[in-house]
Amino acid sequence: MLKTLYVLLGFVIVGGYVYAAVSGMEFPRTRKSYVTGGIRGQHGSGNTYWYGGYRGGK
Amino acid sequence: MSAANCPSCGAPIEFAIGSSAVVVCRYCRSVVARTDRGVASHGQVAALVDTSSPLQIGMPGNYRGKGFRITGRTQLRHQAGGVWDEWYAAFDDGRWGWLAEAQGRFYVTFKVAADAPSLEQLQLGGQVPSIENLTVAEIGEAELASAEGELPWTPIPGSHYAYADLSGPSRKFATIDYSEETPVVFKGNETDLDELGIRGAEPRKRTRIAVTALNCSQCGGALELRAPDETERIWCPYCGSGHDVVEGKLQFFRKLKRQKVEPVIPLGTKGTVDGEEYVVAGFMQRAVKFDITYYWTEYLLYHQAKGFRWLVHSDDHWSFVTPLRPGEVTDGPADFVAKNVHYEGKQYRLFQDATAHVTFVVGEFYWKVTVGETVDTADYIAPPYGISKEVTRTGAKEVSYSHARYMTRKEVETAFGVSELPRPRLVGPLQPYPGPKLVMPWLLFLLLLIAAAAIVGMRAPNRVIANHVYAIESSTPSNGAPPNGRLFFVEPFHVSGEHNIVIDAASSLDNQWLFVGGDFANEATGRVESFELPLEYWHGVESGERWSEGNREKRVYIARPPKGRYTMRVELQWEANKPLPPPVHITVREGVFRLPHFILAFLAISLFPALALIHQLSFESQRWKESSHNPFEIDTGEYDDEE
Repeated sequence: MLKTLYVLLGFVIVGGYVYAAVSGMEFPRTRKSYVTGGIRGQHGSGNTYWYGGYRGGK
Repeated sequence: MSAANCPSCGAPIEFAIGSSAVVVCRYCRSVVARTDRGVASHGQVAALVDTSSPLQIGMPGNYRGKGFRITGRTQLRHQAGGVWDEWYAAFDDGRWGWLAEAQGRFYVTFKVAADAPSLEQLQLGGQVPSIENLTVAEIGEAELASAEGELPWTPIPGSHYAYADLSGPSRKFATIDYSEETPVVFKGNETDLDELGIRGAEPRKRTRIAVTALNCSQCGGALELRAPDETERIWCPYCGSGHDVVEGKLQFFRKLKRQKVEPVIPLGTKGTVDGEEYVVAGFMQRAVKFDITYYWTEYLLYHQAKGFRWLVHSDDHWSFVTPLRPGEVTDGPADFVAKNVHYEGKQYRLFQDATAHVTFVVGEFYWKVTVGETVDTADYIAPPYGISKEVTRTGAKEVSYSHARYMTRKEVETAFGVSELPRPRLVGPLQPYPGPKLVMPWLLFLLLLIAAAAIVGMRAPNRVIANHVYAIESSTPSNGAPPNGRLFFVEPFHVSGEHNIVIDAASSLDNQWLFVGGDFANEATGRVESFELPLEYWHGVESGERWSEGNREKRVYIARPPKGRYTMRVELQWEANKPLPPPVHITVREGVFRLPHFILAFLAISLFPALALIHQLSFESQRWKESSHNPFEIDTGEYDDEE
């Protein structure tokens, strides 16, 4: 019973991998939004100098 | 053919075979030999014990294309008490063949000119190179008890001689006869009536059927013999008196002190195992002593055609045990306890070795068993199977093997019609792992996953769709950027919409940081994906050692965007009042193979097999706790230094 379940799960996992790889899926690392005035009017993300600038570095 | 008269009783006798040495007179049982001057008597043999053999003198047969006729037999008494028949067959090609019959098995052998080791050189369980590496299964002494018919040699009534039985794979069999100065080797095979081509042989006769119902000589209790032809001893279930079964009569042997052990399956119970019906003929309790004494019980099962089997009950676990031929098991000499033995290509691992002794016995047995009887045992396991080795060192020295198969409590209950057998609390030596075995499916999925990843990797275009180097110059920043910041826009580029996107940023920084912020934008829809790639690289020398940290390159992945024209807004920042950073290289590619996806899928398919493996290891650890050869036990060497 458990073996059958594992075999089913295995096919789902391998199938899922193929689907994700072929369809170009990614882990979410970017922030999505829409700009209505075009990219040249965009002020960028929270670390841009429009919002105080990047505070990282050494 | 030559005819004569018995010198003892005058009855007519006949030498039908030219090469025969003696004829046993059928009237007075005198052994009559041919001499130069006629015939001479060599004494009388005792009356034959009825062994209910299906063979008879005069029966013709055909073994492997050679015709023969049975001319005579001798009866030999074993040290353990029973007798066996050796039939003599005169073959058409002039050879003599020996047909031994013991416990329902037949062995056909021919005298061969092979070197045989001396009796002292023989090693029980060892192999004899000069006789096809056959295994020495038994070393014993036989007593000539009786004879009949025409024989190729002169039997001396009451004479004793040493012998060794050898066994090998493919039912090979040999006997070394030490009755003469130079040992004589007889070699052949275990066989059956069909292979012997004996016509007219009836199934084993039930001539002793009358003895199946007897009474105990001590208490008068009814004793029922379930294997009357093969029983050597019966123990009364009421008073514990033991009787030898001789010629259909019971001879009192000894009475046991009452130490009643009740069989959970009563004597006489019939049960079906592997489609064959057995009857419980005997029951015994045995024990081995380690730090404490461990007891287990064994049920002797009898099937008219198959012979004897055992049902072993230990720690509420059950196993069905079938005897093996010693030559079928690859093992070392009997004095040596090997770590592993092999049977039918399977390896069995040593679980326990000890000296076992009988502590209680009731019912009938095919040997003269008694309380206190000891054998050296070694148990090997390959769950759900096991191999048991027993070495008898008293009387005839014998090594015997048996094959055990685990039976669940439910199987035993169904087979023997009993109920509510106790549940086992510990893991049994032969108990199969009850959980799922996922190694094979896991391996198959791993191969499938690797194949899929290889195909995905080969099909990934890894195509550069934008590639720019931005040199930061010291001119006044535009677009409202501060002095330590710049803003660039990447020239529009085309995205196929079929693959993922990867954006790389790289700059040869030197003890500085450069923040790269970006917006990946679809020109048609205004859909933006913002990302950040903070680059920094620091290095130096501290306490004479070089160090470095940070990355001059960073990468971000974007899930497959819709097809269309895209551009990028790239914003750079660096530390205020510091030198300008070197140029930054921005690359955009589509269709890149992703190893983390593969690793994630690998972990996903491995999770359950890993958990099952941990569970199985825990189960195996519990199993081997009861073993004196526990592979899970770490040898600390704590006692090594003790004198």
